[in-house]
Formats: sequence, structure tokens, C-alpha cells
Amino acid sequence: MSLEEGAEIDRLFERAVQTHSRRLLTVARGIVGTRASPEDVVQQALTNLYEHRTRYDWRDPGGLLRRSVVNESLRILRRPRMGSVGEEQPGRSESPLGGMIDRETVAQVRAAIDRLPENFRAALVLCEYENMAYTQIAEALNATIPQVKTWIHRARRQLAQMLGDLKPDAVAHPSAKE
Amino acid sequence: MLSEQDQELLEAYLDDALSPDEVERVAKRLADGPALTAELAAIRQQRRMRAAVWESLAPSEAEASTFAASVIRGIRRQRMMWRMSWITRLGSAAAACILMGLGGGWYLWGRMPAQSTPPALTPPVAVNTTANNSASNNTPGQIHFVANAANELPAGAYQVELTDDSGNVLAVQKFDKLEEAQHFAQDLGQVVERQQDVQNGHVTLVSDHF
Repeated sequence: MSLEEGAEIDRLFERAVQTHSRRLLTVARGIVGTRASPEDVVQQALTNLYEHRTRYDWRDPGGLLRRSVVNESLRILRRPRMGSVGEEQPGRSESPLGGMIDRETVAQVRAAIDRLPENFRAALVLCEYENMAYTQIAEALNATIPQVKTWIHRARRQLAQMLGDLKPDAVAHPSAKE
Repeated sequence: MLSEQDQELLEAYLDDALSPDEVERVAKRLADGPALTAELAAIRQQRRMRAAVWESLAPSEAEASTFAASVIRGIRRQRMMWRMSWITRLGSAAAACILMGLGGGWYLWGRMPAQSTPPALTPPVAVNTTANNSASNNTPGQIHFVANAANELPAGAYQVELTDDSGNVLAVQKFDKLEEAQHFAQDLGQVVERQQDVQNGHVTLVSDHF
């Protein structure tokens, strides 16, 4: 590989990091919860990718980055537990959705999500936050499509049972499907 | 309460995971069944709560930018360390080659056979060609060598003869090496000179007791 090609790869890689960091941190936080530092997970995933950067096409790295973060998140979760990183996940302090759902409700839902099994949680994050299709989720989690469907369905059922009659004080504007 | 299967169907409907035919069937059932419609509304409400959670997990743009900058700094630092490590390894390898070359050269130089300079020997004078010569006109201490018919030097080939004033050989000392014969001849010559000095009165004996 020439020096120019190497420099171009480095430039594309750095641009990918700048573009996708926010999304990757959210995915990592959704999967690892309080069990690990999402920043450490994403940094490790990016470092691993950089060491083998010549293997990949960095012009459209979104899927690659996401898959790497998911794998690193699950790998971290499957290590022997060292204890919670913190009581509360870091994140935006203001109420989401313009304050239309109160922070306490968000905290309760977040705590319930954190209690889901790791595969359920990972599948749910990729489905509802990343808006990935079942086939993409199956590829990212190295699972079959029926497995992914089962994980997502069971995650939602367990959350419904944990949260019971919990209702937000108000609702946001519904989307086209909602 | 809807069946598990219907709940899963509605979830897939909201996930855009159904085929066009399946979407059409669900839409028809929704139009016909208020229970299904109510369940769909409940599912949507739960999704909105979860959407709020996902949004709360996302860092601010500033936080994400700071994180990205730290990742990039770390990677650039790692890249610099890799380059320095590569240069160091290259330099170490070159230094090792030079040292090995110098060491090997020194080792081989030290084991080269010493340049043996031929001894600065004065070729002895071949005077006699037989080993039994008893009469000689040679000066005392003169070294002779005796060669055989094949002109080879047998053992004891270097001979130093002690002769009287008439030249008669009084004694013969044989040597295998020319240097030994030379030393003996030199010593013999010194003794003969000292004796002549005494005889000629050049040296006065103080005592004959030693």
C-alpha cells in the first residue's frame, strides 16, 4: 500500500469516527447499561477496527462501526462481572422528547431495559434505536432471523410486565406508522 | 387480551417487517376489530416511552465531538508510536548487523595464521661434505653443516668444531638447530678470546681461587 493510500484511509477513518460517535455511544450505552463504560466500549471497538483498517471500505462504514460496537459490547458483558460502573448512566440530563415524558418515567423504563438479558437488550436497541431490519440485526448479532424475532418480542413482553401500567404524562407526536 | 401471536404480529407490523399481503390482512383486522386497535395503541405508547429512553442515552453533540477528538488523538499517538517502533527496530537491526560484522571480522582476523618471517639466518657455510672430517682449516667457532649425498640435513647436522692452533679438531658439538649452534659458537668464541687475553698478558689474574 502506498503512503497516499494509507493517508487516505486514515482520513476516512477519522471522518467516520467524527460522524458516527454519537450514535455508537448510544448503542453502546443501550447494550451495556451500567455494567461497563460505553466510552471504553466504543473506543476499544474503534481501536480494533483501526488496527485492521486496510481490510475495510471506509467510504460507507456505518454498518461496520455499528457491528463492531455491538460485538465489543456483548464481549464486555460476557466477561466476569466486575460490578456496576455507576448507578446512573451518563447521558443527556434534560427530559427527552422536549420534556413531554418526565424524567422519572424515563429512569424507570431505562432501569427496566437494563434488567433485560443482553441479547434481548441488544436486539431491541438495534431494532428501535437503529431502525435496523431483522435480517440486519441477525447479521450484527450473529443469530438467525427467528432468534432475533423471538428476542425482540420477549424483550417487549418483559418490559410490559415490568412496567405494568406505567404511562407517560404526555405523548409525543406519533410517527406515520404510529 | 390478545394472543401472543397477535401481539407479535402487531409488533412486526410496526417494525415494517411484514410482507405487503400480511400488512393488508393486519390493516383489515384493525379496521374490523376494536380490541386489536386498542392493543396497537398500547404498543405504540410503550414504544414512545422506549424512544424517550434511547434519546436520553444519546450524548450531546458537544460530548460526542469531544469523545471523537480523544479517540482520534489516541489513534494518532498510536500511529506515531508504531512508526517510531518500526524505525527503532530498523536501527537496531542495522546496528546488530554492523556489530556482527565487526565482531566476526575481529574474530577471523585474530585467527589468521601469523605471518612467519623467515628467520634471518646466515646460511651456514658448507665446508665439509663428509661427516668424518677431522682436519680443518676453519676458524674456531665457525659453524659448519654437513649434508649427505642428497643434500639433506640429518639430525645434528649443525656442528661446531673446537680446534687447536694447528687447526686440529679437538671436539665437535652437534646441534639440530642453527640458532643453538650459533649461540654455542658465540659463547665458544668469547671463551677463546678471554683465554688469548690471559695468555697475551692483557688480563691479570688476581687469584686462581674461584
